[in-house]
Amino acid sequence: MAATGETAFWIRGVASSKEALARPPWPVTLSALIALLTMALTRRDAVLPVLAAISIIFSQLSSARLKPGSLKTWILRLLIYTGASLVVMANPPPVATTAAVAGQLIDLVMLLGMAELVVQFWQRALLGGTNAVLILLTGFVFVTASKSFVQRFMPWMTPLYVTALIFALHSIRPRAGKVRQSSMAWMRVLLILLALSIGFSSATFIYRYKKKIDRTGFEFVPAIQQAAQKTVGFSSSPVLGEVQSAEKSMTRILRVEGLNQYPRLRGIAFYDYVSGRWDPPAENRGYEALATGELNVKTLGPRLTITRLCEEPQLLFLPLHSAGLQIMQDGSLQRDTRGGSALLFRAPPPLVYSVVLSDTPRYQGPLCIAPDELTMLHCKDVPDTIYPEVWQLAKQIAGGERNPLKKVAAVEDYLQKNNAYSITTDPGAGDPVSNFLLQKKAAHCEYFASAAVILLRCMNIPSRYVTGFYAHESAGARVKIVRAQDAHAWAEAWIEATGWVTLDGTPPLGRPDVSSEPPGFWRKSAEWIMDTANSVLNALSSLSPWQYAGLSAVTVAAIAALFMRQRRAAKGKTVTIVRTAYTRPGEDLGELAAHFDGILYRKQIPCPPNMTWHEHLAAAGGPAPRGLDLEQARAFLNLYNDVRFGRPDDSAAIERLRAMLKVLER
Amino acid sequence: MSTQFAATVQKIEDNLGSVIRGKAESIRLVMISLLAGGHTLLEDAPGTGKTTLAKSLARSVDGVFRRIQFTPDLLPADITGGNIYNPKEGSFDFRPGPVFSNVLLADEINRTSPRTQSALLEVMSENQVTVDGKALTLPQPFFVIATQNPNEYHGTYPLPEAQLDRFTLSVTLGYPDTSHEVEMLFSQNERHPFTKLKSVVSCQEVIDLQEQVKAVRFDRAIAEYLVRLVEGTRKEPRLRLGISPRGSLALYRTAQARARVAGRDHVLPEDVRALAVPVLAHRMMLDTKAKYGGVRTQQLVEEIIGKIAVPR
Repeated sequence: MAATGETAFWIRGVASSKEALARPPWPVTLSALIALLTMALTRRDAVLPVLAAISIIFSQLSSARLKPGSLKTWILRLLIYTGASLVVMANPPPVATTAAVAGQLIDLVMLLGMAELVVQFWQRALLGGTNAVLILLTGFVFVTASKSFVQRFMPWMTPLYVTALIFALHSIRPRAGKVRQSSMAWMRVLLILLALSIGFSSATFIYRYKKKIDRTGFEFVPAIQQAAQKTVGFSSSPVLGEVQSAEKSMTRILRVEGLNQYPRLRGIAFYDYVSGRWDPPAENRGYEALATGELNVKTLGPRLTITRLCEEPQLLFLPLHSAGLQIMQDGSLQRDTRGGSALLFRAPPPLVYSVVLSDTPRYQGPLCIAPDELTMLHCKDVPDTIYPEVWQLAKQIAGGERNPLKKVAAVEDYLQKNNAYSITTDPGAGDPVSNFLLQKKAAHCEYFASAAVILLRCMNIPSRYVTGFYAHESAGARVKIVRAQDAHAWAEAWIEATGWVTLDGTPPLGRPDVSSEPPGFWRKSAEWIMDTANSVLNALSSLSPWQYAGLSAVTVAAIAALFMRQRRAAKGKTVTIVRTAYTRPGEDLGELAAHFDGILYRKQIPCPPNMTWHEHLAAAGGPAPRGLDLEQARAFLNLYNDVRFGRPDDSAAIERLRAMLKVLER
Repeated sequence: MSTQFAATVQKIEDNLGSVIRGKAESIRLVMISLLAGGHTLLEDAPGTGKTTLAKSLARSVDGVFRRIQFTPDLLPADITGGNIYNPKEGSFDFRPGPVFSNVLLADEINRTSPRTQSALLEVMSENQVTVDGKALTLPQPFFVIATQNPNEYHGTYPLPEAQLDRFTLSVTLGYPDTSHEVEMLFSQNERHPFTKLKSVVSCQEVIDLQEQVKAVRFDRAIAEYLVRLVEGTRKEPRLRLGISPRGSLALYRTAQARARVAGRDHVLPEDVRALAVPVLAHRMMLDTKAKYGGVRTQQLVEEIIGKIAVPR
């Protein structure tokens, strides 16, 4: 009599003491490949993850498998682990600090996770059980590979991985037949929403605390330069170099609502040109506290509502000719002591402030303070490093004109026509501005702005260098979005009896409205999602504790009601299949049965234990459900049943069954 | 031998099919019951052909056919027979009742009193009759086909559980579909097709068929599956009475018969699953709450089938 009690059936499929050949569902494989791709992108050496990915792809095409727990598998595992360790040890950090060693350890753990992932894909395993292990390992590889949080990859790799993870989790859900699936429909929807929320929250967390995570990550990766401590989209101390001082990116800085005829939103002005650099740096200035009422000269008039979306810089950006300012938040407003060059308000994003615009373009409001004597000296100073030829050039441009406004216009016109825009330039030896002007070089806006200031000063017109943003990207009716790439520099000149006037020497092709890259669809979609979530969070943060309690109670009650309703509806439909042990077939037949079950599982039409195979295939629908050769499958089943229940000792028939299975596998 | 078996069975089915149109499945079930050596209960609304089917089956077998029309005044001796005093001889002569036949049609079996119905208990389970202490064996083969209308309550007596348990399976004919009913109308235009029916198989042939059925292999795993199903009915809280071992045996034998009719020499789990409802449903007793809650025994059997894993 054959042994009893060893065969057990449970919901996910047939498990027997003979493990069946199983390939994971394609979403699980996809999430593994994405995790390895992340590893390849964030690690200096991409060879190992690429080899691992090729190995995994090959495992899906081949039917060769390692037996779990066998000596061969353990030896192979040991060899791969040793190889990974040698790779890590062969690249020691240049300086053996605690952080560097910790970074190496993470690298080692990541490689071991990758190695185990490969071994698991090649392993013959029980149906269902290994998929969860595989998903866990892909998550492990992805998280350890994300340690450096390289900005250009993570905003794309994180959602990509999370999406693959959702499908992977969905593909390993229990399948106990139609009855159970119908009652799980709502649960699946909730599960997907939950996974999306988790994915979005993770992405938001990474995005919001990117700088801190970057700093932490950089500590563990000593080879990566930490030189990029640039203020996002803005330079606190402009230096005329080969590229623009400010870091250009798609990061959103400001949201401007309202009709605005002043696209230039100034942030800070600089007075002193010293060896190719504008001083004083923003952090080295003196600031005096102001009451917000001090800047509310006018409260009526065209109004802009500006929302500062970034953490840095903490300046307020607004047009030069602003007549009033109101900040919708408590805090300390500060103005630099250099005559209204910069307004500082320290607050976490989003910071909303309202600006009343002047109704004339020449209005000199609270930001346009006339320069005092000292400031005037600075505004007129032409350093000795400027070549004498520049003075001649200025005289030539002025052309005997006496009207300072016309001189300003002449300088603007000259610069726009005689120098081309280029994102990179060669400052050359000596003074960069002089070289730019005299050699008619192509350069970026910082050079144009610097040159404008120097030329005007040569004409004895006080002027200053201003950095800020150029608002141009429309995001709806009367709404503009300002990004880091919209950082711009221009000049402001002081004209007696008129006040400060703006002068932008950058050619139109170099202005941000022409040169900036428009955001893509995915970025816009991601920003929309984040804005919606933020507005929900803001709304929630304004609730009182009682309101919170009430909302929570309603939410919990709604979820509980939904679950109870679903349970009541599913009560009659949910079927718990009894685990039953039957007299086992012979070893060969048992293996064949498990093998056939494996084929059905891989075709994603696993047979529930409470149905016969014939009934299941008849219910699966179509002539070739999921690519299964139905005729061949039925022929196999007919012969299998004959042998299993009729003549279990027919070895010739068992061999025929094996051959039929091989055909079915193709 | 397999071909001969199939041919004989086909002959009988074709014979029955010439009278009862469009009910191949029901005819097959009745055949299975006959081949399993059991008895059949035909339950359906009036006028659906129950009695015609029973009479046709009886006529198809070249044996002794008797009919009992059950009425409320029927007595047990009217079924089994009894000793009648012979004044000439001065002794009692045994007059066999209608049960002494090969095919017994018990028409409207629920119209007689339980006392009379119980006369069939020994007959159906043991193939013998005890009269005045003397056991008399019934001829072979012996096959009871009973009919009843399950919907009528006036003047009827529901069959006791013991009686129901003795029927191997219960068959419902149902109304014919449109095309077959039209055919039936035209076929009975001049005379009933039953009048043209002839016997196609002898009693000995039927016995041979029954013996061949017993030779069908029944794998142990399938037997365990069968018992699990039966145990499921015994544990079902909505049932007052589950399936008895007689029921297990009935399912066992009918599964063998089905396999044999399908041309196989071994039983498959599909055979057991296909016959579970006709063999088991009529034997189970619902508890009061389930009964008045609209639960049906057929539905319970299907639920239990859905809960038990199938051997592979």
